[in-house]
This record gives sequence, C-alpha cells and structure tokens, in this order.
Amino acid sequence: MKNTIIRTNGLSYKYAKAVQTLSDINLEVAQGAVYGFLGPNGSGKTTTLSLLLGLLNNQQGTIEIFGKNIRQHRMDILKRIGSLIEVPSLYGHLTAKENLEVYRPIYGVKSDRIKEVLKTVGLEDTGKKTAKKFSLGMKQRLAIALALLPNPELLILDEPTNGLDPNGIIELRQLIKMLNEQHGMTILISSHILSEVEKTVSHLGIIYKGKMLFQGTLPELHSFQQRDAKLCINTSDNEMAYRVLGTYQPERTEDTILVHCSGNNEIATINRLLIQNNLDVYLLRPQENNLEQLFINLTTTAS
Amino acid sequence: MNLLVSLRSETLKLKRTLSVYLCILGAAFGPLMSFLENLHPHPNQKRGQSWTIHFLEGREPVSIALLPLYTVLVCTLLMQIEYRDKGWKQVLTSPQRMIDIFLAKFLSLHAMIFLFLFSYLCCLGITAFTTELVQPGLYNGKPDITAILIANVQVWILVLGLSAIQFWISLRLKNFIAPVGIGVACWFLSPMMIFEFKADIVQYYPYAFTILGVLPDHKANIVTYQWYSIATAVIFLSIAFLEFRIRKVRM
Repeated sequence: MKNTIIRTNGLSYKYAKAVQTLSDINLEVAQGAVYGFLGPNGSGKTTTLSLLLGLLNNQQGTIEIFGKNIRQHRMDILKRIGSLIEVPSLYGHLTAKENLEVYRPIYGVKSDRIKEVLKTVGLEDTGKKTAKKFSLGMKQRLAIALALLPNPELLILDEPTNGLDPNGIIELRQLIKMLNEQHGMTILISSHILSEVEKTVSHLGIIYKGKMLFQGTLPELHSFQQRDAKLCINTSDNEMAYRVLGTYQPERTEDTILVHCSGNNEIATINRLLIQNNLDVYLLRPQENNLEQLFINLTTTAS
Repeated sequence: MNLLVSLRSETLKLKRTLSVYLCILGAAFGPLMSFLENLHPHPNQKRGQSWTIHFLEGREPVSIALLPLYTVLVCTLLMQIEYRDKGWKQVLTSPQRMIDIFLAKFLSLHAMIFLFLFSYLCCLGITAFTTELVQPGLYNGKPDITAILIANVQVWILVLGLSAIQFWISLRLKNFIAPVGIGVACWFLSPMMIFEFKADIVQYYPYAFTILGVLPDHKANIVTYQWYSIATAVIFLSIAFLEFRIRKVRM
C-alpha cells in the first residue's frame, strides 16, 4: 500500500467570523499520485493549498505532509515541496537565471540545477531578458521552474495553466506526466476546468463552497458521471417527443429534452421509440458533463 | 548559517533596483554641490581646513536630511520588491526560518545604509581631492580615519530607531505611498519640534535623533540619543516580528 503524502482531517477555515471558507476538508493524496483538486473560482482551493503550505495559520483540523505536522516541521516539509500558488512570484527586475539563483542556496542545490530546470520548461535561451519583459506564459513557466528547483518529492501547483496558450497547456500536461512517471513526483494540481486536468490526473478531489463533494480515482468519477448521465434530444416536434418519452421522466429545456439514460442500449431504444412515432431526430447526444454540471449533480446528490 | 543564506538571497534581489541607484545618487548629491561651489570660491573662503573637519562637517547634511529620508525610501522600496512582484508567497513557502527571513530583510536594509554612508564618504573624499587639485591649499593635514569612522557609526546608531519604525510600517502596508508619506511627515516634524516649537520632547523622538546628534546644543547628549535609538529599534523590531509571525493572511 502506498504512503499518504498529504492528509488533512476536518480542516476548516474562516477569513471572517460570519463566512466559513472551508469546512471539514479531508484531503488524502497518495504517494506517486497526480491529484487534481477541482472547484469553481472562490470554492476554497487556494485557501486549502495556502493552509497546506503554511501560508495561512491553521484554525481547525490537522494537516500532515510526509507524515509530519506542518506547524512543527515547517522547514523539513518545505524542503521537499515545490509550489506555485496563484500568480507567479517572480522578481521582474531579475533575469530567469537570477530569479532561480535567489532561491538556489536556500534549497541547497547545485548551480547546474538552474540550467536543468530552465531547459525543462523551455526557457534556457532567455539570456539577459528580465522577467518583467516575459509573456504571461513565460512567467508561468519560470514559476514552474522555480517550483521544480529543489527537485521536490511533492509539487503543488495552483491553477498552473493560467495564461498559457493551448500549446503551453499541452506542454505542461506532458511535463506533469513526465515528472510523475520518470521522477516519481507526487503532484497536487488545482484547476476549475475538469477537461484540463482529467487527461493528466489519477485522483480527483472536488471542492464546492468550501466542502469536499467528491474524492476518489478518475474511474470512480467517470462511473459517477455515467450513473447520472443525461441524453440531450431535439426532434421535429419536441412537445410530442416529451409525451412519447414520458416513462423516462424527461426534462424540458429551451430547445431540447433531457432524459436519464444508463447506456448505449437505452439510447438505441429511445431513438427507435422516437422514429416509430414519426418524429425526425435532429440531435441525440449525451449531455456535456462539464464541471459546472458535475457540481450541480454532486450538490444534488449531497443534499 | 541559515541567516547568511537568507541574507544572500535578499541582497541578490537588490540587483538593478532603484534602491541601489538611489544610494549612489543620494550619496553623490551633497558632495557634488559642495564641489561645484568650491570650484569658484568666494574671497572669504576658509583655507587650510583640516581633512578630518571636512569629513566631520560633511556628515551634517547626511544626519539632518539625506540619511533619514534615504532610510524612509529604501525601507519602502525593499518591501515593495516583495509586494509588487507578489514575492512573499514564494519567500514564505521556501525552507527558511521566519526569523531568518525577517532579520535578512532588516540586515539588507542596513547593508544599504552602510553602503550609503560609505559612498557618501567616498564622494566627499573624491570631490574634496579634486577641488584640492583645482584650488590647492583648501585642505590641510591628514584625515583622522578613526574619528571619521566613529562619527559615522554614531550616525548609523542614531538612525537605527527610525529604520526599525519605518521597517515595521513598510512591512504592514502594501502600498508604496503611505509608508513614504508617513516617514517624510514624521521626519519633517523633527525640525519643527526643534526650531519652531522648541519642544523638549524631541529628545525622545526617534526621527530627530540624527539631527540632534549634529546640533551644538544637543551634541553632548549623543550617547543618550544612541541608547534611545537602540531601545526604539528593539521595541519596534519585536512588534514587527510578532506581527510578521502571527498575521493571518501573509501577503
């Protein structure tokens, strides 16, 4: 059984007395996992990550990283972590190399490591160009290089694709896979876009309004999605289709009808039923299970 | 050891910053003005002044205005490096002790103050030497290096209190204008209290210590002012560090 790298128990946090930002967060990240921490903006992702890194003082619950308490073993833990929280923290008046040089002795790594990480993120040829002249994507990549500098066992990336173009996003995805597969790095990556992380992650945690709605493997999430899948239908006469599909408990939207369905056989049956009733089928596809929809589904399930 | 590593990191951040340019320009300004004035001396110009007196009198503009204002500006600029570039998050998630981060920042401020005082002395020397080449006989004798160094160390001790207060204010306020505004206003109160209101309380006022150190009426109490300055520094650094440790949202 793999070790747990991050474990939080009943983590709760309030910025203001009346507003509960986090409530009973039980995060579990196994060694070697790529853990996607998903949630819409303002759901509490950054607050959770800030608590993990000791940027915020823990108010309630416990945090264990590498089996140690962050408050008592802050230095030992931070030596083994690389992080990028929200926007890149770079010194605009320094070059890429100088930015890394600021932190190199703190992590106790050799000078060669700077070249290595700059090459990894594709910034080895920026020369004397200072960071303030970098594009947002370049800044993001430099911040990732900074996170990789200590060759960490755990990499925490908060919305790392912000500002990256589609090519940059693909490159980052490949980089995360490479770091995980070849270097055995455990990676915790937060995002508000499911499609962005689902190609990379092995485990997922979904947070919504400060509460964990789901935590498990990607197949577990897919089975949840399928269990709750809906079919989107548009026909030549939606009124009649609504009546014909009465047994499927249809829902009406502006242009379409939504019905619950549990597999391909059921989709074929629905299609046959519509055609037998002389209806022309213009659209018959599974409803896009985007994160927003998933949140709604999860919230409904939770309530 | 850890403190040295943190200090190295802090000094690296200063590369190409306004603080460095400000240090050199600020240090060169006074001596350059005096040099230009001495190029065409008026008939009653005092000649044969000792080099030591030249250096000791030369610290007056530094003590009265240049050093306090420079300290106010550099304090703010040092913190702005982190605030402007959102660097605090990276600093605080790196494996450095909080006390090392805090002290390294304060020591880098004082490294800049030392650099300023040293640059000022160099500028005083260079401009006076150049003037001597153009107008021989203006200066006389050998400079008493020990006396000059002691006088400068005294100025540094007198600015300790002010620097700790400004350090605390700049750490608290993310904004650039507010700490500078507060610092300049507090400094401006010093000459007002000394010359305008003739308030006795000025001898406890940290922003006035460097000024009092060069005023004939107050010079005798310079050691007392130095102790007040050290005490102020200890108090405000302690407050600043406590706040730095316990503040809920760290930048």
